[in-house]
Amino acid sequence: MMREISIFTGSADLERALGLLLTTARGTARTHDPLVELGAIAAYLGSTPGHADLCTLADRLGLDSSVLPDVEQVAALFQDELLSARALKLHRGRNVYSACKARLWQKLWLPFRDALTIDDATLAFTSELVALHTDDGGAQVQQCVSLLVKHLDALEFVTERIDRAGHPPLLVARREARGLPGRVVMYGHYDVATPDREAWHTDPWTVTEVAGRLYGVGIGDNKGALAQRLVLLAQIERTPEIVWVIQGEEEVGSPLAHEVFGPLIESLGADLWLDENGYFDLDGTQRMLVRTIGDKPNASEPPDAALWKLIGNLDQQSAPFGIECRVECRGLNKAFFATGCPFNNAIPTGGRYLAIGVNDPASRIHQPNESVPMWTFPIHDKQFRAALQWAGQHAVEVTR
Amino acid sequence: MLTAHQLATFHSQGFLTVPRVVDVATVQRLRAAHDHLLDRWAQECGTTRQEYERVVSQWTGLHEQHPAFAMQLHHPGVVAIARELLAVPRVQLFHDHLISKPPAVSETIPWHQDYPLWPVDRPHALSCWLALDDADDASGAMSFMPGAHREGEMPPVDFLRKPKDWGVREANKVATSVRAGDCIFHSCLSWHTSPPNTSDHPRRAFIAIMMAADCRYAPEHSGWHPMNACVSVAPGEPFNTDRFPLLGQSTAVAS
Repeated sequence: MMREISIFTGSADLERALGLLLTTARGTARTHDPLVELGAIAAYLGSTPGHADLCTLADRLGLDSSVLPDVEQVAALFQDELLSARALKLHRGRNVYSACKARLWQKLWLPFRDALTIDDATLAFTSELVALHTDDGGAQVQQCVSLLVKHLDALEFVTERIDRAGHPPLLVARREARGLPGRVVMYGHYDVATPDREAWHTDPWTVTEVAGRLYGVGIGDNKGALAQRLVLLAQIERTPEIVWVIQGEEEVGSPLAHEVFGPLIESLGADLWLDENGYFDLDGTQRMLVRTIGDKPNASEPPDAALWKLIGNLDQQSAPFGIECRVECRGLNKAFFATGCPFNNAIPTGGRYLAIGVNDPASRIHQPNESVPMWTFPIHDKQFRAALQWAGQHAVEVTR
Repeated sequence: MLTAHQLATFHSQGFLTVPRVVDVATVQRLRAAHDHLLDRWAQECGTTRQEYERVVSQWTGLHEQHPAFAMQLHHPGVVAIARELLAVPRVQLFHDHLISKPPAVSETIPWHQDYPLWPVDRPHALSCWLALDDADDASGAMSFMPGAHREGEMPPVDFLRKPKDWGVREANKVATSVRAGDCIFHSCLSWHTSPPNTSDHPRRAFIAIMMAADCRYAPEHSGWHPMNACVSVAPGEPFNTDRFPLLGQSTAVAS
């Protein structure tokens, strides 16, 4: 487990957590499973250059590097655990308290844990959303809508609920500006593809952590990012005006949204059009989708100067994590329905579009064993905040 | 043979201390065997004895590493008491282990039950905790929550998570005090804990986990347990006797 170490899985817990720490400190390519053999981690983090990288990482992430053990202490911590592991292998001896593992966890991982993995509040809310059966004809669509409205109400959004017979409700939530000018229009959806239970290795309706990833139906499309943005908006003090359109039938072709979004969105105008989610790649880069909308629906034109400034801001947020950005001039691929994405289709010509989020190439959207990596959430956290901030600054510049 | 009072105590409290089960000479042999093994193990690990003992505190399967421990498992008095307490004609070893709490470097073993951690199909087993040193609360002797075994099996305790909170019941805790050679027999469902050794002398205990010989292998009950690696039978079958030996001779249960 990345959030807590267990006596039953302690070695793997430690090797995954410290493996992620090592990868982040070195800025090397991510792997599907962050596990790195403890000897290799010890050789690096217990060395002078490795320890210096660790302290630099703490500084980059805004953490207090003075709480970290010095290089001799780090080497000693690893030495104890490696001795315990050797004793287990050679003559079935071990540290009965798992104290060596616990100390490494506490001294090296806990100072970084919250900065490098999903936070407890987002994990809890994601789990709550995933547990609700919101597939086509799912029994808990209304319950999910009520839950979302409750959260939006708590965030002081005014939510219009569009109910049409035969369609799950579509939500249009608006919140006035809070200390920043401008407007951001965001898109999301709460429905999920119907899971093929037989093909899942875990219960699709229960968020389950396996090897540093969270599994659950719809967690990558779109409940993980949706949950995180709702949690974040409760923490962000200053935001521009936000209009958030959240629909419930993307996975069946979005018939109601196609009908409603056009006239609704045309009337809005926004400094930024923020799509539901986005991707990180395993080569240590982020696949940042940025474009201005061309003169046909969903047509992509290169980012303009204002968007390049946003890209720079977002790049600054991912850099401390050792992640570089790769800009692609296109929208999220939603080609599974010929009619395309109603949100993307409705963005007016010249609209500035951004897709960032928490997925990676192993997310297996719409397939059994859908998952998201845990390490992408903190980066999305920073970038979501930066995007809202940029929208406010952009609005000021336009006014000038 | 145990007295009726001893039997009643074990069944009502979940544990029973039986004094002087093992003689001084045997205890000394076991200490010497452990001492000999510690030298060998430290060398195998390429470290000093002091460093080794600071880090490594538990060893499993000692009967496969030194004849003194193999002989101890078949100690007639211990086996007879185990049979009597479990009310079975034959007992089988699940595993043995030695836990050492040297002065200054030991920690608390949190409250837990043993059985939820084992790949065994039923809680028909006990541990014989043979003191190799005098031990009391200050030197890390075990404490029990009397009668808690009768409340049944609870989910396995993770030693690295939040410890069990007994609330006001904590006041009922019974700390044991034993002399070297005494044995504490405790039910596999007993709740027990032990504090760090704050004394200046060692606290070693050799523990034999004995189960009724008709217990079956149940990996689904504990897939992570290291003893799974020693099992060569299918789930639902009796344990293989090469790694899980039957202890002592078959006898009728005293009535």
